Amino acid sequence: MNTVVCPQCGSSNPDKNEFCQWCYAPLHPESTSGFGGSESASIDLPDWLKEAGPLPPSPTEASDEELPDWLLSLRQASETSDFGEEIQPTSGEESFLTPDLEKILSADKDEETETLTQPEPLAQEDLTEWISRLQGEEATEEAPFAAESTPLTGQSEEELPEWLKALREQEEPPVPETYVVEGEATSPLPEPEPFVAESLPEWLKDLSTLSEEGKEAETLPTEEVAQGPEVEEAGLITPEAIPPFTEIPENITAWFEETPASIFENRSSGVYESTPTPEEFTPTTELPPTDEIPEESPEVIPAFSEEDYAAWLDHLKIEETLEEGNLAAQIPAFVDNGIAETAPSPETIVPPFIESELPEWLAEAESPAEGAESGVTPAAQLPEWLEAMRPVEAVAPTPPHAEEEDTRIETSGPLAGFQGVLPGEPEALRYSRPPIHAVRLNVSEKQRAYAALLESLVTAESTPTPLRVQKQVTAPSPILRLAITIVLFAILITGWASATPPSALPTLFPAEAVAFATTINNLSAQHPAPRVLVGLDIDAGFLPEIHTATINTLSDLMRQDARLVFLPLQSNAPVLGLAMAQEAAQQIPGYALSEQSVHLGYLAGETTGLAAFAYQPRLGMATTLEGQPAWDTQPLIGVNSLQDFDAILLITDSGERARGWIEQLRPLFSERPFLVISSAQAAPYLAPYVQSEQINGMLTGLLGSILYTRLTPKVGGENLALWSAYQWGSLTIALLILLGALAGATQALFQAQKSRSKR
Amino acid sequence: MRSPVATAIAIGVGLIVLLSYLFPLPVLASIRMLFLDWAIILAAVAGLVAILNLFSVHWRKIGSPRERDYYSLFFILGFIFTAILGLLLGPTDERIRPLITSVQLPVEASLVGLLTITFVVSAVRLFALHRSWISGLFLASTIVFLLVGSGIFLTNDTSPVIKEVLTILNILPGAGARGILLGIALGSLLTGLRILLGMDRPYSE
Repeated sequence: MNTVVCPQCGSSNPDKNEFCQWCYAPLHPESTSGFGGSESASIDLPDWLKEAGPLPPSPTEASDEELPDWLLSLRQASETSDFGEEIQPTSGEESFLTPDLEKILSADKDEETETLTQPEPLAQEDLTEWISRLQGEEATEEAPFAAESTPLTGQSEEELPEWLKALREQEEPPVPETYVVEGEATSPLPEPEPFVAESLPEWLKDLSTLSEEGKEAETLPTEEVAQGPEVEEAGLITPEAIPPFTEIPENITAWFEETPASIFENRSSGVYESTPTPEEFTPTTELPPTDEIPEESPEVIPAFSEEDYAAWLDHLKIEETLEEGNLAAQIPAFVDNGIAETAPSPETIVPPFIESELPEWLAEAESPAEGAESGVTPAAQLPEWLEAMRPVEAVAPTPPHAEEEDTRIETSGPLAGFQGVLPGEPEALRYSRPPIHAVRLNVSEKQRAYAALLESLVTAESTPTPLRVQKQVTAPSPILRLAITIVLFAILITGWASATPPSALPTLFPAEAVAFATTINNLSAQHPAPRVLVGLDIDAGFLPEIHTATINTLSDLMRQDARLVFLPLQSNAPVLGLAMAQEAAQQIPGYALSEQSVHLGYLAGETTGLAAFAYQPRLGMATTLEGQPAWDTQPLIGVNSLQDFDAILLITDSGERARGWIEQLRPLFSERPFLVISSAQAAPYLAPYVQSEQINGMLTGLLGSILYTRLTPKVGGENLALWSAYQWGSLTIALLILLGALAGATQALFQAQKSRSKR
Repeated sequence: MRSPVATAIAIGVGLIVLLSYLFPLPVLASIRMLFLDWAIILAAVAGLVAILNLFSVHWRKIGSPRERDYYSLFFILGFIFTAILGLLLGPTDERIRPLITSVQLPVEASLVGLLTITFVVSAVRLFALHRSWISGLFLASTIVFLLVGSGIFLTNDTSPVIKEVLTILNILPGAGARGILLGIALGSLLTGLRILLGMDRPYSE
């Protein structure tokens, strides 16, 4: 699809479009020029004129029936008068008033004042006379601008200044498209441009005013036109812009047709009775530079009616005020003052557009025109919907350039006429240099110390630690092992054979041994035929150590006719118990072992089994080792709980297992003697229980056996051979260890001397 | 939680047993005894399982082509023989008892004697291998308690100074054992609490 670049906004549009879909500017000036297709006239049409809609057919083609009554009356009036014939089309370079013209016009101050005070529109005759007089004065003053400002019909070439004549010789440059249309000089005077004077909305008036302010430097480069902006900025209509009565553009005709007649009635009755505001006459044209004026400029027909002339004359008063006040440079303020002075009453202001046809935003944009009542041009106020579209400004911080007032005014689109609607806020302007903070930290000495400590810890973690070289532990030489074994066996055998201990028999007895012997031997005195629970929690390997003490103790109990109940907690303990009981019973011939003793079965679960047996013996162990009901046997008759036993004798080789017995049974058996026969290795472990009297008496190892036999004299109870071997063996082992330590120390010394000698 | 059911059961049973000790109510005592009986039965079954496992291990060693251990054959034969005799004659039979008293007891006692010789050799070489004050202290304490345990100082000829020294030396093992027992008690308490709280679940591994 072919696209056409909009000359106004530069956006691409389909080729078929006649107007830009973005800014509504005509894309094909030749074809869209509704006023004859003037090329120069259609290039820079103002937005409001562009938005007037598609160009209607030429008014000459339109029938008179389609025109409104007022327009027909105007047309008839123009036909009956020679006003239109006398008004010649203006040239393009005569769009602005020059000081010369202003002087000329100031000479007619009285008439102007009279005109301003006349609410009635000027009659065509009066206007014609005034223009004729004006042209005459121009010729006398030879103002350079006169030629520019008096292109009226009927003026002779001689009356024109030379420079104007020179210009006349050339093709007249095009006039700003806003007010000029191409047409024939003899064409009927066009209908008054309704959009220029009164029908422009406030926002469009502001747009015109402000746009011209920014463009005056470019559009008026020459001296001739340099004074034009004063008038232009004042919103005055230059004489050049006075449109001749010519053909009515089709779009205007269509607008007239759509506009109710009442509006025009009000217009005719009241609009021109008062002085129009300068905004109403603010030209929105863009005057091309003089240099750029094309040679062949089409004739321009201003689209102004006689009412517009009247309005223009009214503005001459404003111009006079400008000169008097020497406020030419302050055009906006002056314009505002002029508005205040010459603003029509609100009742006389007739909106040029039907409000029902206007969009809401436009209707809202027109409302600030009420500010003209107070003489101050109200600032453009954004509609609510547009305010809502600017949330960024509400929350964003004030940009650095916020103080600079954005004087830009939208020139096109729906926001045309608003000032600072969408201010550009480049992010770069929001950027501010970050504050510079001091790099140095305020650290106390204590914090420094902590930091150093932390650093050292981290460093130590990452530092590889050399592994300690382990010495290779070699197995002892067979000779050493064999030598030690031979020495030990020799000593043990010698000691056992000689039955001569290295020291005398013990005469000093530990307290626990004495308590043990005393308790066993006095048990029958407290309880005849005492019932003793014998716990067997021992391995076969440690039995020889305590075998003698156990046999002697059991025999003493049997001698007292004790009822022995054996409770084994090890798998081989039942057989060991049977063997020891039989061996002890051999020393007591009258003791009925089968009747006075019972061997319960193996109690599994160790501590758990002990707990169960402690609380409910009958449930904890119900059968004997043979599988018979245990609690029906003679020793257990009348026994229902642990407290029914007169004493507990524990035979163990382990301190851990002895602890389980004490912990589970002792709390339920606190007032009866708890005796222990243990191996030598368990004695230190059970010492606290002995000291706390949870164990009432204890015999430990082979020493305990000798002590017990010494405490309870028995014939042949003392096993001197075993005792002698034990003592000699202990002394030999201690000597070997001592010798080994000395050998090691000597070896270390020799190695040290060797190392020193090598160095 | 990996095994919530087992954890719930363990915690529940532990709490019941604990409450039965704290509040000696007959109901709680009955429940506790029920749990204990179950535990004893399970322990006995565990012992039986251990015996069967031992038998299977030695059986595999016999049949293993790589590491065939012919000593396991003696174990298998002795196990079968003892089991058959025990099942047939019972553990209290006169013909069964010598298997324990004449075989197992001397063998185990011999192992303890052999252990004594090994300890002696190691103690002799200790200072030569590890010359440190700990090694010296260990050897010194071993010698001292060997002499004390031999009973050579338990005579009337012993000087009063030695008697005082012996009294002090007899206190040292008791002090050390107290520390060990206290540590064991605290450890047992914490272990019980951790199991009751579900923090330790040895049954779920």
